[in-house]
Amino acid sequence: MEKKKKSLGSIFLDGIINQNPAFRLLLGNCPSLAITTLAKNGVGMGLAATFVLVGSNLFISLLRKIIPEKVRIPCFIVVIASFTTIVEMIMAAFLPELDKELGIYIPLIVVNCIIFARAEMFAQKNPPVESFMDGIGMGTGFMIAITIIGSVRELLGSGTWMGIPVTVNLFEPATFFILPPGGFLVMGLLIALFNKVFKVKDPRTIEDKEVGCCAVGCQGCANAANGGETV
Amino acid sequence: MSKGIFREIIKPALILCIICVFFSGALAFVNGVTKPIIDENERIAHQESLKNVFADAREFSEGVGPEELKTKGYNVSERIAKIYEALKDGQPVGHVVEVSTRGYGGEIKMLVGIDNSMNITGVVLTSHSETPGLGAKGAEPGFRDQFLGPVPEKEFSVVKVAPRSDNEIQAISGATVTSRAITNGVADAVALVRSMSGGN
Amino acid sequence: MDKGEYVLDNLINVSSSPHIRSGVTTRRLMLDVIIALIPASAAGIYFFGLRAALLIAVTVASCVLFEYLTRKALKRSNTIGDLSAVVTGLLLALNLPPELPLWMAIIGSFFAIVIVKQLFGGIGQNFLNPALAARAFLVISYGTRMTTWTQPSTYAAADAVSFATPLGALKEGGQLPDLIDMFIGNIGGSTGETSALALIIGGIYLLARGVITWHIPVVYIGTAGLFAWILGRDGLLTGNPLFHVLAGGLMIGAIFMATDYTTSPMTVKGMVIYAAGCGILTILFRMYTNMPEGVSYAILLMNVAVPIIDRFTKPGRFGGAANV
Repeated sequence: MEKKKKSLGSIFLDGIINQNPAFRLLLGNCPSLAITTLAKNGVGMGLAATFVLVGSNLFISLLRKIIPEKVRIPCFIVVIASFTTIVEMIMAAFLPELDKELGIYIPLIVVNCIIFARAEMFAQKNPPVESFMDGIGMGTGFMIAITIIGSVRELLGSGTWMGIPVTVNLFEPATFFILPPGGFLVMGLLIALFNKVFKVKDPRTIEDKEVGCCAVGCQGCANAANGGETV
Repeated sequence: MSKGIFREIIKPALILCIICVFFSGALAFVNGVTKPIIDENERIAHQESLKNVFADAREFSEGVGPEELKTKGYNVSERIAKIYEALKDGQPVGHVVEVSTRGYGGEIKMLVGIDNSMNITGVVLTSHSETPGLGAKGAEPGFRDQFLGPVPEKEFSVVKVAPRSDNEIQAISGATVTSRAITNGVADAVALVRSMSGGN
Repeated sequence: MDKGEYVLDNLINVSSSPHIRSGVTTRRLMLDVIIALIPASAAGIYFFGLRAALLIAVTVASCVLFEYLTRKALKRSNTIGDLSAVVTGLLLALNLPPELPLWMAIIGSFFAIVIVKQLFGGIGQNFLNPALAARAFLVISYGTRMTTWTQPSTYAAADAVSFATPLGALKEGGQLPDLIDMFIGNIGGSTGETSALALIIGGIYLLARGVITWHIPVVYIGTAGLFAWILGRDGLLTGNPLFHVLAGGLMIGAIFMATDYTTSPMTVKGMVIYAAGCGILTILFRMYTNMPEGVSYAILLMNVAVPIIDRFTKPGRFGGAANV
């Protein structure tokens, strides 16, 4: 289990760059495409997912010696679903506007591959502190990524950023970017840019390390979860 | 044997059960705290949305559904979802009709406020999936404010050029389907309120 | 056996960048396409005035500029000499409403050249037709502007600012123009799509020069006409095929857009499937959606299907079992 100690800082950074869930692992694509019409939604969704991720990572890590191998998947799902429901209720009570904006995508955090993948790949094999850090790193990485996607789409598609008018009064924004095809296009271009900036090697030529994904939890995104088979 | 059964079946089931119970308890607690706040939020949001189309009213009665209206013999089209009575100082001053009409991208839900002297006090789209930049313009004041004011003698009709009389509604350029859908919704709301106030 | 395999390998190699053996060849082909588009461009300028000429000049210039700048930024060889950017610019202008604001046309050129063409590797690598993808992008982004049509200057009618296209009139129940006007191009529409006559002249030139074969245009137009007749609005077999063939962007689409080498199949069998798909989809879009026109989306969808069509229509190995 304790094969090689990784520092907490590198666990955190992994989530942001080397294993960025949205840009490298291509996990959680459904929310990254669907709610990123506004930068604000990216932050809100990112925070909600981070909360669930940290909570489920921490609990699963604490319970990792108790949870029997056989029923680990139902156990994980109970933990994840509970945290998601808590987020949903808290948001509806205290941030009703954001809750309305994110709508169905908050309950859908339950099936967000990132959460399940981290439970399966990390939390059940690592002690609580590391798992907590992994949750923070992954969650922050996800939040940064979808906030960037949201910013680009909001700027080009609505001419605003975080609701503040930027170019909207200068020229008509291109509606394309806040519609689904714009989401795919912006995401693809940002992945290309990310690979260029961080000099990511072709994933087909490097050995697959720790990434990869749960076998059961995310059939829906199974093709995307395959160790950063990005483009 | 029995030890194997315990380890293989009973123990995992028990642990899963305990985890479920624990988290159910946690959920029940959070729900207990947030439920009243959520209900209150929803009530305020609903009253606010009704006020948007009937600024004069202080409060609104409980909604009445189409089945009940039909039994009273009113003119209820299939687009009518609900009607609320607008109250000011306890006196009825008009109605807000919730209409659901078929637009280009799916259902358009809207509220139409009509006062007792048949003035349209407000038209607001509460939810829609019209194309941004085209049909979605129907939710903007530029289009929906055309309905405001006294209900015209003649039926509403959608036109493509600048309206010449008060029953003409200028279509959103490139979104005739949406324009017609919204206009039909308003017309049905007017017909319902008119039949309720004893007119034709 | 060996020979069969050789042919197959050869085909697979060709599939990534078909028909491009040298710069000179591409340049000659592109020059032919430009010549073939001259009648349609001239008709556009004749019917819609000098604004149409300005639009064409702006899109062509901006496409060439964007091609040059992207190649430079990506540190690749300069390819503006192959004239493909000129063709894209010209086709884009002919697919836009004549009064479209010029900055929108420039954004369209950017989308066509930088996003659709160069980011996928440049000429021969794009999986969508750049001009059509840019048109779809503009329609989605600036719906109102992209559906604001002007009447031809030669049209003697009241001074209405906006003007319905024949397909718009069909959808909204307006007055349908007569078929002669539609054939000549005296109708509302995109700059270069209105004159069937000019487009057919260009098509005949391309056929005569061997730039295109007859399969795609003929099958496309034929299928569209057939289905327009079958799926008429007053019941089966009541449609007016001639109206649908002459209306909207079908002619320019079938002759100039669907025949684009990179985004159409390689075998004759594939071409027939592809063109028939385009024709059926065009009529389905026109009849059963809220959009008046469906040519651009039909061709784009079939563009995406080309790799599959190619896979299932590639010649089998001689003597070998079906190998898909």
